[in-house]
Amino acid sequence: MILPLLLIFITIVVFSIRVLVPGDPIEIMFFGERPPEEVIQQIRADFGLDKPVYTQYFIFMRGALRGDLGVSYRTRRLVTDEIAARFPRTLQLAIVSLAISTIGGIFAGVVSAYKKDSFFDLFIMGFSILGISMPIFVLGLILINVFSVNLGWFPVYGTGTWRHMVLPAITLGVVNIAVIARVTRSSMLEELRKDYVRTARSKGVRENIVLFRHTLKNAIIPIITLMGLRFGNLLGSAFITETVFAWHGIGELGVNAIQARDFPLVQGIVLVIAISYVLINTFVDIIYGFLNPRIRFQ
Amino acid sequence: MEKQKEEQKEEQKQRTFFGNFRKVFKHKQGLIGIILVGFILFLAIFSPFFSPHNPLTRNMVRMLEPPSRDHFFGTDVMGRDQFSQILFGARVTMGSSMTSVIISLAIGLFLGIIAGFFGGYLDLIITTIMDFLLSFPTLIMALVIVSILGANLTNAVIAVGLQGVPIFTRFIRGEVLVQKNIEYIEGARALGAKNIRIIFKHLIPNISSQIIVLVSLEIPRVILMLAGLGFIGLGAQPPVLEWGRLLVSSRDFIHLAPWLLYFPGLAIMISVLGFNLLGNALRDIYDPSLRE
Repeated sequence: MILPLLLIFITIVVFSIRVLVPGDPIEIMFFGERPPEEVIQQIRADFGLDKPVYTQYFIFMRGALRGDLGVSYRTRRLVTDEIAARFPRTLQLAIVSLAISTIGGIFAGVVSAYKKDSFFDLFIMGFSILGISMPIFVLGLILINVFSVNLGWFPVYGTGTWRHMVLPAITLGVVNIAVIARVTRSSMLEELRKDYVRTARSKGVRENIVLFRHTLKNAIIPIITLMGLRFGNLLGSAFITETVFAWHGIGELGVNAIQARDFPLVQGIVLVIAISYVLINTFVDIIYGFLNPRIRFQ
Repeated sequence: MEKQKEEQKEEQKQRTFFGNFRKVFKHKQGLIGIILVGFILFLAIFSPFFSPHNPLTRNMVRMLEPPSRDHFFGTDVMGRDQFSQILFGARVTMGSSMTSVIISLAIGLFLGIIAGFFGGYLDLIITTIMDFLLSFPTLIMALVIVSILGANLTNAVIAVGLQGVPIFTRFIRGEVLVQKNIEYIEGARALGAKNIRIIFKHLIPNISSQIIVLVSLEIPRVILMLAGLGFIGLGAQPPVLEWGRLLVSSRDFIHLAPWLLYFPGLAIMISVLGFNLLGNALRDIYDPSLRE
């Protein structure tokens, strides 16, 4: 019930971008110059700008449902084509970096919960607070400086081979490793106190099986929730990371579109990101039921 | 008798914000945090006294000079002294991030109290809209607002302030709901106090420490977001000395002048780290239930 309402809300917000922008859309389209009057009339009619706002919304929606998000002001190409060309790259980067940070973050979190207050724990917690405090673009630039400029291991920027992917994926990953490690640690500490852990240990179950098979399974729910939320964050951070690495994804496209005041493109990008974020989190909700059947029966 | 009174006084002190604030100094992370934050705020306030050069004076003869005794942090592509730029940048960054948080807080407090205190349809409407707004990743929300308003520092501050509104509204609504059911509100009402009086005299003072915790945890996020917007060219514009914007040119000269990257980057990191540590400490002290 809530999901369709939410999707409608998203389209209203996205639609209102163009309505709320101060100034005449035609002038924005022609970069401040005014074309002849009949051209203006023609464009107004073509884009439905002469109709009332709510009619414009329905026109926008009708188009969006058919996969037509309009034409970019700048390149005159279809917005859907522009996005389709770029979105897979952003998604690819987000998935790879989420995979890195999930594996790294869960492992670091489990070990630092198991060895609470040890040197390793202190190190991981120290690292994680530094990771949260580091602006991703600074980290990205530092990695470029060290690994591309000084050592020459990876290309400075661009897209193409897997070597282009390494630095941006690590850059995006570090913040998430930090966040996931913190949550894993606290969730694990909570679980390790419970009786079933003591039972398992007293039965003589090996320690790594207690940790990874028994405890982690019960501690995983907050981590999965977090991963869903971080995915949205990854799509958002794409705007910054892709600018640093000139990664030709949707974020770089978005930054250029905002700077050029290319609103149909901005609308399309925001719509795609918001909907993917909602879908991912809905998917996470569904996963809960499989991970913890008690939730399904509630 | 005397002793009892003194104990009471002490207890009273403990309940107020500043009475408890002393605990921050005993909290290891909190102490480091407060030193870092204090250091940055000190530099921001007194930047004209420490800055050895005018941060905007160009000197093409001395462009891209590495750090030296004359230019502690080196010079940029226009030969401007980076140390002075960063000092003055502290003002911009601290001022703008705090303004953003105040915008979120002001609107969030208003909506949160209406939703939590009065309840009913208003609550349902506000809560639903805020939940829906949170379905946009926060940076995207800020970008949407910037794209509508246009890219400059003022608009970035407004945008970042507005994207924080749902977070503050939801948090404050939750706190208000907790307080509403405690007897003292009932008591005040029985004494004939009007809603306005209850809200300002009783409710807000009682949720203020939780709000301060949230503010201190939001500031670092906001600093990062504003710096990020500055870096991608959608926040502060030249010649505004915002730290994120200072880093824009560092990318082009990364092989020639890495100091253009390291010093502003370090400045952002120190202030974010300071506020993160301080925020964690305040959370541990005032709101142990939020502890991770």
